[in-house]
Amino acid sequence: MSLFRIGIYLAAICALALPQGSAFAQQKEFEGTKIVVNGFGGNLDDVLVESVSKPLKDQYGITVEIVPGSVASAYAKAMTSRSNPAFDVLITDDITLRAATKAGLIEEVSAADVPNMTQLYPNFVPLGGYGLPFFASVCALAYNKEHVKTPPQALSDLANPELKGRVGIFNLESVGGVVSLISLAEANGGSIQNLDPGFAKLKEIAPNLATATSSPVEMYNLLQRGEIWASWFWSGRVNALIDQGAPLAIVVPKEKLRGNLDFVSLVKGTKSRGAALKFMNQITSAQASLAIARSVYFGPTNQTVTLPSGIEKRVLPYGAEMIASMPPVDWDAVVAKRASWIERWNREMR
Amino acid sequence: MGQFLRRLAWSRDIYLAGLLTPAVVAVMLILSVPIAWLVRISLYPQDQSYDLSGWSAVHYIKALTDDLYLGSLARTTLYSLIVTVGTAILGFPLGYAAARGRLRRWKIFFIVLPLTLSLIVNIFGWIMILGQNGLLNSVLLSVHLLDQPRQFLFGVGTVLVVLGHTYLPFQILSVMSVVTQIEPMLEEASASLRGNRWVTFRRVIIPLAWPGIVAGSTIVFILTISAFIIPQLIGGASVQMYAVFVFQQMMTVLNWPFGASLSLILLVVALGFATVFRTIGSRTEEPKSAVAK
Repeated sequence: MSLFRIGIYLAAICALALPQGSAFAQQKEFEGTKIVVNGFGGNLDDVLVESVSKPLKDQYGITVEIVPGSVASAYAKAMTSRSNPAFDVLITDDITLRAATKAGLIEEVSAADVPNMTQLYPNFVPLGGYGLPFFASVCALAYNKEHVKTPPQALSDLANPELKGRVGIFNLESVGGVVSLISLAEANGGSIQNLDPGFAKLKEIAPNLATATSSPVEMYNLLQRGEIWASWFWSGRVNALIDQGAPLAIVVPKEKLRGNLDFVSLVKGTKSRGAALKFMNQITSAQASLAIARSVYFGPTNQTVTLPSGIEKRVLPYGAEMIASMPPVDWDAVVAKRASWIERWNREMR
Repeated sequence: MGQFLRRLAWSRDIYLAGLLTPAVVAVMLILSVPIAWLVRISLYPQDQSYDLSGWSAVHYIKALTDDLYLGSLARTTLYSLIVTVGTAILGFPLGYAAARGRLRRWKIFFIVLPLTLSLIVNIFGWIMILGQNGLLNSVLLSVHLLDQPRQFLFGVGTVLVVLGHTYLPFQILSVMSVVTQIEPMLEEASASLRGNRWVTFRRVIIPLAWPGIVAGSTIVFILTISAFIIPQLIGGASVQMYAVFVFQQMMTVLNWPFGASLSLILLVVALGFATVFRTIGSRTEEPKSAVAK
């Protein structure tokens, strides 16, 4: 009797183990499923293909289509295709995440859906399961070591007359411009509710401005060609320029580091929920976080990532201590007030 | 007999209507529906992109009373007129030369060539030429016309030059297509009637080429008044063209109703000027048709 039982157990174990052991014998879990995600274009999408799409294809048979573009245009597209979603997973930033959540465009996920969620830095998950961060970027000071004699230490140092006509900054259409304005205001006695001191500093910088743009590509180009010598810019992009041999240096401004997170959100009504959740789990994994930090120098959001010594100092923000010291940004206030700030900029800065 | 002709004309109308149908349907779908949608959006009272309901003209009132937006609209229209006149003056001789003489195919090729470039490539090309480390500065410095590099980028003048350069091919092609149809014998006839070159140019060539100039100008005007990438990237901090505001509202602030109002105001202004151009165009066409009779 007991021998018979053992036999049954053995048979059961074999039956369970066999299909998993021989991959060819069984279809992958999501074989033939395709999900559509918005991307950024350029290097970052290449990293995502390498560290997210490929493992998903190998492991689960999921095909990921990344549609490059801006986060805002993807949001617009998602908003106008709600009955038949254009994206299964929406990549958002701090501002579009709030708008998308309020608009009921996205569905909340839990750690049961996306196990890697528990590994994320808690203060990088402001809206819980509505948006899982997969990289952090900060707006730091960049200056040209060949041309600038007194390196700027603070954002307000961009008003130094030495830099006349050689400063490029993000305007308020870019989140980089918004956080810099908040930093300028807070460091000079203001707050997000009272940006007057920030605007006053901006006006001091204005005579030095070559351009105020919302385009990272333009900023990159102008820094690379030496057209501008100092700017506030995404530190990841400055690192890429340094790798190319541009004589640039990054300074953490006295006003403290502020930045932006990029999130993945599950689009409500997606027809490939399971595959979409696998994508969200993979993009927030330590493996993907590390790959993003290595190639484009954006800060990892997964706490378990340890950066190699070569880039440990260059990636901002990195490490529990630095991340804890970053002042929070009241994004709801930003969403509520940015229109009036942009209008004020349009009136006062031109 | 009369009945037969009428029936013939009728069947011809049906035939023409049949030919037009696909295009009309396509235009209805891809143009009218989004514009109707835009009109609806512009009439919501809210300042956001979701939970829109109700009716209000508040966004139009703001756009049409606020100095910031009115001033920008006036300036944008002025810039567009400058670019249009500039491309007409530059484009006419080029179009005329391209239409006459040999190697026409090659000329067309070189005129169209810049249009095959992506606008962004074009813009970064201009940044390389006009920047402080750019070609123009290094030439001016080497011939000692400048002591130190000057910033030619990031100003209204530069924006107008780049807009003009980008849209000039449309003007040239339009003039060219009309000049090709002008019989060179008419110019010879003018000469044989003792009209000198200036008289021939003013009384024969210009009136006959006028529809082409007006058509080209209309295209250039509409493209310029709605331009936003060029002013955004080359204009720097000081140039405020209207379409940039539309982009700001639609894509950054996500205030779709206000963005829609701004874009429809721009559309009305552009169509208004296009109508004016058409009237100018048809008025001077009359002598030509008189000659033809």
